[in-house]
Amino acid sequence: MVLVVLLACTVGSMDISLKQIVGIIGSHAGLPVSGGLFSSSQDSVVWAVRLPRVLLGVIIGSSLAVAGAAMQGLFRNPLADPGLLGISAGGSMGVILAIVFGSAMFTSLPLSLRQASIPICSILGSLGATLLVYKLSRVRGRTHANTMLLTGIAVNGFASSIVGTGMYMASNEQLREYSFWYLGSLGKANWSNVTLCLVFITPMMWLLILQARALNAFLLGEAEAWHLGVNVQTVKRVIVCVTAAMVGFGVAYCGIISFLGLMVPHLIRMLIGPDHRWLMWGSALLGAIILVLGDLAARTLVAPSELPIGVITAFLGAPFFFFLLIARKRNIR
Amino acid sequence: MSFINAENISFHYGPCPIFQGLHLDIHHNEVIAILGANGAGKTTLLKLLCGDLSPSEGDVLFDGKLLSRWSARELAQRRAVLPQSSTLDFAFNVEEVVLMGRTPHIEGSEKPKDMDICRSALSKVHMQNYWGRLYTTLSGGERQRIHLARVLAQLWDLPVDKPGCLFLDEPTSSLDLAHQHICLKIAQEFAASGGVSVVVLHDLNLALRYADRVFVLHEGAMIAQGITSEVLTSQLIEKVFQVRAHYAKIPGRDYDSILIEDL
Repeated sequence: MVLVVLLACTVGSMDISLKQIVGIIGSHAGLPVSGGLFSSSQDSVVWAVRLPRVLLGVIIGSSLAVAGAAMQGLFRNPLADPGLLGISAGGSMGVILAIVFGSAMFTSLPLSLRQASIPICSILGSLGATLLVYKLSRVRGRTHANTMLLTGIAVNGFASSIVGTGMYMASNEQLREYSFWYLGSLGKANWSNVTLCLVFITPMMWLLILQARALNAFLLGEAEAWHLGVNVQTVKRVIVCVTAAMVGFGVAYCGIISFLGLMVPHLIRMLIGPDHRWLMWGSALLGAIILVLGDLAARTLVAPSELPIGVITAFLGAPFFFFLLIARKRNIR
Repeated sequence: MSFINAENISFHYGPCPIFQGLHLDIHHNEVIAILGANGAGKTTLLKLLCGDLSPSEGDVLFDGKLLSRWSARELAQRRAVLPQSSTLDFAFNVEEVVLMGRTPHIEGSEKPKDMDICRSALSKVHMQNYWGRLYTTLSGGERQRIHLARVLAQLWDLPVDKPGCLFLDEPTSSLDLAHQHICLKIAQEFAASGGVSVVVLHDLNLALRYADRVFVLHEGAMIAQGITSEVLTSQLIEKVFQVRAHYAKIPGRDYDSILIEDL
């Protein structure tokens, strides 16, 4: 993964060698690096633009993949995905509201607050949608996984109708802003974003990875997990809330990056089996690698312009989903 | 002192009441069979006793302490439940499934001792050669035995002062004839080591052979409980199961067999 990070830093409109990258990172880390190895413009491109972008890819990629693995384990359904809980849809609802109505409402606010309104609304939307799904699917103090999936579908439908309404009312410029966000991009990366994501997302990912053994027990069934001493309701609550907050946070900064949460845990399961204790770590690693490489493709394929990363992941992910469905059909026969 | 003790329990599934004011005691070293026709409430009674369901009224005591007062983990170290059927469609290896039984005992990561226990539990159900096989490739009966090994691993080597309780819900439903007996012998051996086995059964001969006492359920009520051979009279069997039963001696053995004929 370190290699992929370094490689991704070398590719771009300015040619910078691997050795120079290592030198630049080394010099910022306070290591003695011989002068003249790299120019100051190379330094600023790598340090201010490429490295934060790649690191954001690492954080977001691994968080999405871990969230996907946790959801699939919780619902005992290999087709589950954070998107199913309405997290992404809730986020888009928040964003379209912020873009279309926010500009009118927040004109009196300073610019920095107006810029922050999109991430804040996205997180609120994600959390709101997830809480709604969670509350609605609780029957007599217990959460039923199937009811939860169905409620998630309903919330998704409702949220996309709000998004549709918002898009209908939006001006051309607002529509463009929304669609750029919606398709996902790592282009807004800078050191403050990266630090914020790192501080917020890493502990959450850790919390999810800690649930690995409980998730293994969940695969036997909820009653069986309880028989094995797992505090079923607590674990479910932790996983749902943490996933919602973590994905919502990521979505706010990078838009909707689809299929990563679905695809990566499957690949890892094929490689090393379904044991969550390895699956979670493997997913984190592979999720990071895939997103960084995807982003690399996004910004080089049509350079100097760039493709939205969501387009790339969906382009690769959708055929993968078909493949999964066909493989399942064969299994059932 | 009894190991499991239900006092005056009632339960309602929606509006329909079952078990009104039920009392029962289960003692150390006992094998208990729960018998009854389909829908008589066997699984419900098992779930009430193992803590899956809470009674609407009354209390269930497990080793002298209210079942609801046990933490999930503490309870899991003392009681294991083999459900009627398990749905596990993820491609785990056999030993990984058995190792799940050690969940309540493991802090951090598993020790070599836990793997040894898995190996012994697999030998117990005669599946030691399945180590490394994929669970999803096994037949229904083989899967049932793997899960039996899993619940055995959960209650393996318990301290003498903290014996365990094994709940088996129709453990013989997909087993061949020899393994049905092996399964019940395992339950018997478990009880003999100080614990308790509570088994839901359909085969009256297995109950007669292995159960110390039986609970007979009929239309959501316990209509008889007591020593197996005393309770299972022809009249009771005809009333509960709608079949005619004849006792016959097995040549050279000191136990009876029940022959069944339809009405």
